[in-house]
Amino acid sequence: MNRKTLSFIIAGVFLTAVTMGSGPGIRLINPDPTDPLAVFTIFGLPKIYVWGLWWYVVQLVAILVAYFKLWKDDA
Amino acid sequence: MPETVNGLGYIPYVILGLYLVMLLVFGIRGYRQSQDTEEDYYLAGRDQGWLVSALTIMATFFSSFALLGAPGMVYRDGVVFALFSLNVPVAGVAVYVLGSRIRRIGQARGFLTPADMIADHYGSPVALRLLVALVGVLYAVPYVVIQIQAGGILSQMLFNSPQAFEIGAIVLSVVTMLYIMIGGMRSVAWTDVVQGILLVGGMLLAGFCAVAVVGGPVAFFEAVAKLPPKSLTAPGTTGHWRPEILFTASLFASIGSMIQPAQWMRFYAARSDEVLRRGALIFAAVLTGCFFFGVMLVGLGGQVLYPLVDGAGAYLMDAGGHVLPHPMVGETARDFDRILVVVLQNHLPDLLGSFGAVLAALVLVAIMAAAMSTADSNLHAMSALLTHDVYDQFIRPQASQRERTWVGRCVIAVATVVALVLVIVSRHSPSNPLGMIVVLGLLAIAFATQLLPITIDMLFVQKGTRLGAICGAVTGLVIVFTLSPFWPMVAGDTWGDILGVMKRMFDVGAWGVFGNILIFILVSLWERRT
Repeated sequence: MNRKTLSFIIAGVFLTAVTMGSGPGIRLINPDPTDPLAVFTIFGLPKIYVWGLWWYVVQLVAILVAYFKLWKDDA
Repeated sequence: MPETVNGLGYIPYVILGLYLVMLLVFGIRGYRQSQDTEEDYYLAGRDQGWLVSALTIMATFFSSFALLGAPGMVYRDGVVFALFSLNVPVAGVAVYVLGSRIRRIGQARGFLTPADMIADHYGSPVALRLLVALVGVLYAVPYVVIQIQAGGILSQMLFNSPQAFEIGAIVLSVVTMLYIMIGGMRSVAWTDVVQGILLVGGMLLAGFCAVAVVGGPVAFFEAVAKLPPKSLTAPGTTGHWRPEILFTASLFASIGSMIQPAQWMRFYAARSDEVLRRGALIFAAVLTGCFFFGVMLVGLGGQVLYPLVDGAGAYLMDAGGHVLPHPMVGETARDFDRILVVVLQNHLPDLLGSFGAVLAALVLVAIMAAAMSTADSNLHAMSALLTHDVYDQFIRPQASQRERTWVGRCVIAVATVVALVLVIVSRHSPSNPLGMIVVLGLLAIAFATQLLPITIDMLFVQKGTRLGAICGAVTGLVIVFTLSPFWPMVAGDTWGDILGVMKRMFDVGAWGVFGNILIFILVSLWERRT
């Protein structure tokens, strides 16, 4: 894969993670606090917390790939 | 003899005393190695290695906002604010993507401040230089103010004295001022290394303590799962953290914090791009973890130990309809920031005895370190802005290098005193306009973010014009001020409805950036055509 394509993919993944993790993506999993049947946890942890952790991992993977594949050549 | 620190014996005195002495030693060491030139005083000879650079960037980024403000906000609004941690990897990326370019240009052209580069790029030695210096001061002043305020809050909670707030604020200010004045960037960076390590350790330790106090990880999350539904969902207890607000605040707070003058000067001071590359990775990986697994858990543990709701499930409210903390944490809606200290102070010594007191004292010193490491960087940067961008350029261009560094030292002293007076006067004002740490911190960042369009254009696009840059930045600053808590003090309820709607839609800094970019593009296009 050439450098430019990889840059676009990494930037896309990273921006998606930012938008999903701390942005409008939260609406996909955010329970309704007024709904008596709403489930607020997953694996025993608050859903929103798990959601944040997941996108942190995605961001970190994108940064690691950039660190080893893109930034190394620049530096 | 001083009174004992609440519940912790004399251990915090010893640890805090050792820490303050160590800072002064670093100040003197920095002075001995320094040369009397502006470049050495402000950029430590542009020769910082990766460990010092990484830790000083981290320590400057994380302030009392991280150790007092963030747990306070989670305690108030619940788990939704934990997602604010995701701004940290964005800041980490900015360290390399923006920082390496800034470093290369700065080193090649011998720039000292952000205004040097921006004024040079747009060919505006007066207007843009002054405007960029103003943005820097608008960022630095509130940020220094909240760090001093944090020192006061910490002292007030620890020591049983009516003047504890003032004494804590004064001690933090004076010690910080002394070591910056003595040793410049070298002292600031070295103390930041120690403070950065304390900060990372303190954040994780605080989370560990909060979980231990509630009975371990399983008991902790079982208790968290039983919190009121609003604490486990967006937009949180107060309804403020809607996803759009959280998104724009996270995005612009991270980048805005990375292009503020103190960080910009750290990019100049880095020895190579490799330094910033490593720094970026450490920053993104370690600090986000400290947030998620550290201080954010303190806020949640706080809600378990000191509930915001009464037995009937109703939130405690003041007369103005603001949610209040538990009475054992504080009495007003501004006291949420106390939760970390309350948890440590009231529970850790009981749980772990003397060892618990040592752990609690270490975290309290970490809070002090967080406040001082940000205050020192911002005071140092503000000194560079006012000395290099104003005094050297417009007042005494013929000043010698020695005179310039001494003027810089005087600026640090004056700025510290002004910030201290602001904190103390505001504390005794019935309305306390400086309010909660997070609110004031986000406002400072909103001002700094107004350099973002200029920075992006200068480093990547290179299509903007001088007039476009000036008009865009002025527009952004005016918008941020109009949306700030200071606007009603100046203009009463003018445009109150529309401003209220805007504030509920996006973060204040984001509105400023939108207006800034729009005007920047339009004016640049118009100027190019004419």
